[in-house]
Amino acid sequence: MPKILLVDDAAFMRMRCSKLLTEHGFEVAEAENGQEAIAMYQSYQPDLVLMDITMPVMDGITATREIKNIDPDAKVVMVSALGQQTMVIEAIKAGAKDFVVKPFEPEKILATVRKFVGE
Amino acid sequence: MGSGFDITAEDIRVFLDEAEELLQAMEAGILRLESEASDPDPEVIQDIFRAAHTLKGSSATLGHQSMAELTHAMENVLDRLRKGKVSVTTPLVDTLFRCLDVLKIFKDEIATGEPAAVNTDEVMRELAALEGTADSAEPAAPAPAGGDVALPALTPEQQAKLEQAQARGLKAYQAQVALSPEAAMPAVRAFQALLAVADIGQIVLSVPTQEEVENDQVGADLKLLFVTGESVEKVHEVLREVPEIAIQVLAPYQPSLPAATPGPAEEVAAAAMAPPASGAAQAATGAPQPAPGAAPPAESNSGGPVRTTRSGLRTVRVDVEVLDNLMNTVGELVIERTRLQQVLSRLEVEREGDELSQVMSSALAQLGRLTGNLQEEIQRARMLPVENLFRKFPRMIRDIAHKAGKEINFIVRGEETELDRSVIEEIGDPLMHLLRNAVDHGIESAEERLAAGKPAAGTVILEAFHEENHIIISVRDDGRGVDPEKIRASAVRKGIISEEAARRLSDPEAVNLIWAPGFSTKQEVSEVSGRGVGLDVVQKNIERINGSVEIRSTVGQGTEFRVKLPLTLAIIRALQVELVGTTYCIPLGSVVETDRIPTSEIQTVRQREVIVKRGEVIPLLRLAEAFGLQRPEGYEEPEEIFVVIVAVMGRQIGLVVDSLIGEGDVVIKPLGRFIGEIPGISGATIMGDGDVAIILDVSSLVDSVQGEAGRLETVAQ
Repeated sequence: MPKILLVDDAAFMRMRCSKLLTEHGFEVAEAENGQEAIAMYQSYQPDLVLMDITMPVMDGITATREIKNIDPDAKVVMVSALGQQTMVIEAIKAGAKDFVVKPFEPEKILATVRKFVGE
Repeated sequence: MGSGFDITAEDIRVFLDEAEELLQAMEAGILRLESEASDPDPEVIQDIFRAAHTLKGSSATLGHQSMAELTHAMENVLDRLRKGKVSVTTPLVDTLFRCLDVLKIFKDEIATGEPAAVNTDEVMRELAALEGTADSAEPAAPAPAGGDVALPALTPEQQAKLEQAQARGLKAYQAQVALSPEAAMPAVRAFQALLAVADIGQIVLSVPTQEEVENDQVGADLKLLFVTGESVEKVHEVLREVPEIAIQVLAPYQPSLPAATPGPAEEVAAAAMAPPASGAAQAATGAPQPAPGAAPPAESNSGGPVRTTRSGLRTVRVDVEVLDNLMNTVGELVIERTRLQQVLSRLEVEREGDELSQVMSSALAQLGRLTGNLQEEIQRARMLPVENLFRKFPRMIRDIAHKAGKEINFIVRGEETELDRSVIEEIGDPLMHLLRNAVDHGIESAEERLAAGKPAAGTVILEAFHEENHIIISVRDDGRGVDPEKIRASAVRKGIISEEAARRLSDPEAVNLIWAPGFSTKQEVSEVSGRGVGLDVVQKNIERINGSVEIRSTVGQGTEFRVKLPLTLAIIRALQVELVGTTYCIPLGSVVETDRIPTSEIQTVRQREVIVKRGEVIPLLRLAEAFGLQRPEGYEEPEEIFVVIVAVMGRQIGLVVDSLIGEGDVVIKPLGRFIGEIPGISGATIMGDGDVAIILDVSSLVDSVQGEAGRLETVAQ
């Protein structure tokens, strides 16, 4: 079962996204900020990271950069609010593969996730 | 596929819980912003921003458009603030507060499901005005950079770059990719396309340029001139990886074509010239490609076992109702256990010494302990720090003070004190009333204060703390105090008491007339609170949850309302110590330090054992003796004693104990009416192993030594 690491400081978003993904056959772990995400990336070794951008402690862009440092093959997809284009570009420079926009549509997020962790 | 995005009641509950927290964080942040207006902490701005941002995402997902729009507009203003483009002004703070109020209404709207007729136009206008105070707003409208502009003339450098590359055997291509009008972030897609091409080659020129793309200045498409050693198929492949773009043109760059300004006609020609047998042909149709995920493979392994790992989380949110139900269930469990116990008693009579009844007896004992634990854990889960309640008061005080034209320093202490959830729910309104009372009536006007030799700003202190078997919440002001003479007159005027009876009352009794029904129903109270309640209602509400409230007041110096709340469910963190084989708990809040002291260092001052620490004389209290505990025969005093130094209101004493065990959370249980109140003991608790431990009441222990302590200090000096 593909493993997804869900990083978002908003419990509500985590819950919805986690529900969606587990319902569709993914295993999901959650982290609340970038720093936690880095630690969990190493312990959980997910196939894909869904990463929020604006978070306390450590933002998603820094975390993406760190994760790519640890594992250059890491697959990170940003989860971004509209209007954060320049930040998403930053994240992609940092090594993120793609992004999905909040509020996301289930189809879109599933499609994006499946694209990177092809079943 | 895609079943799961209908909103469930559970979703709404989580949303509301989180929204509540975010709104509180926002409120705390705005208050801080206001108090530090001249030098705002970037962290505070960031906190408010983050709260708005998270709320935006969640509310949009929930489908509450107005809430999403408002938080979005707030975000824009906060972003400007963050970047130092606007500064913290009163209008800004006021607007943020108004936003907060509207957000609260929205939250309630979601909670109740009833649309509240709230108009955001005004607050949105205010936000827009704040936003417009400097340069342009959100990058809403993309700059018309791309459009139909063809490749511009190459600069000499670009020309040179191109020629050098071609000399090295690299091939030059031109491409035009359309950015899907559906794309949420076309600039990101354009950037990804640039990145994809740069990955396999070198970009000679692009329209828009990379810099423009990064600044979100993109149009409908991206035009490229690049060199690469890869085949056109490969270029095609990497570009197709980028979602939401369509390759309209991908063709070798014709050196014969003029390098400068190929018109639309040439573009079409280039498209037609796409090399046969290459995958590019399909791309030349110009139709936007379907988004790569739109037709994903059929789901596999749906319905298989799904395991969720949640190692990142250590807490869950639970509905209070669930806890109540659990509590009831445990209650019933206890009753069933009692019934089994009765059956056992009969069994024991009828079949004395039977092995079965013995097994049952030990199982029942175990069951009793387990249900006890269960009960305790559930009670514990119901405890909340009063912080959640206290947090909403600073804003309220601010508003009331503004309205009354008074300046108030509002101090909150003891937010970490825990109370049962239901108590917290009940105590909010009474506290709000007492606080309002303090600001409205307690604190004098600035002129009056200055005339009385007080600072212009009044102080109101809200404090929670443990005292013996209770939690005290104190609301204190340094205002004018309650004048018993005026109360008498007022009570007589309102027909609450006869003039004669009033005269017979002592001053404290007269002050207590404020609790009489009908005494305090002032106009402004009902205006602020929305419900015209008097202090009598406050008292009734507090008594309903087995609490009490008393007033202490000194004319000219201030008033304190002390709300005493039951602590039957309260949990404290305690230091566990051992005393003649039994465990005692000392609330950690009053422990200053623990120490091992050679008995030789104990001095005696006026028949009281003392130790001197850092120049301070600390009287000792030998607990075993104080409680009259019997030492076993042949007990010899060790050469070193353990001393737990405790302090209450700055007065310290050293408690002599046999040994230190450790610290942990304990649930205070009252000793019960059979035992009554014992000085020095506030309650008991059941430890994990089932043993009972006594919880010490530090303040009464300190009081028992206090009188002498005062004298001892003068002796020492």
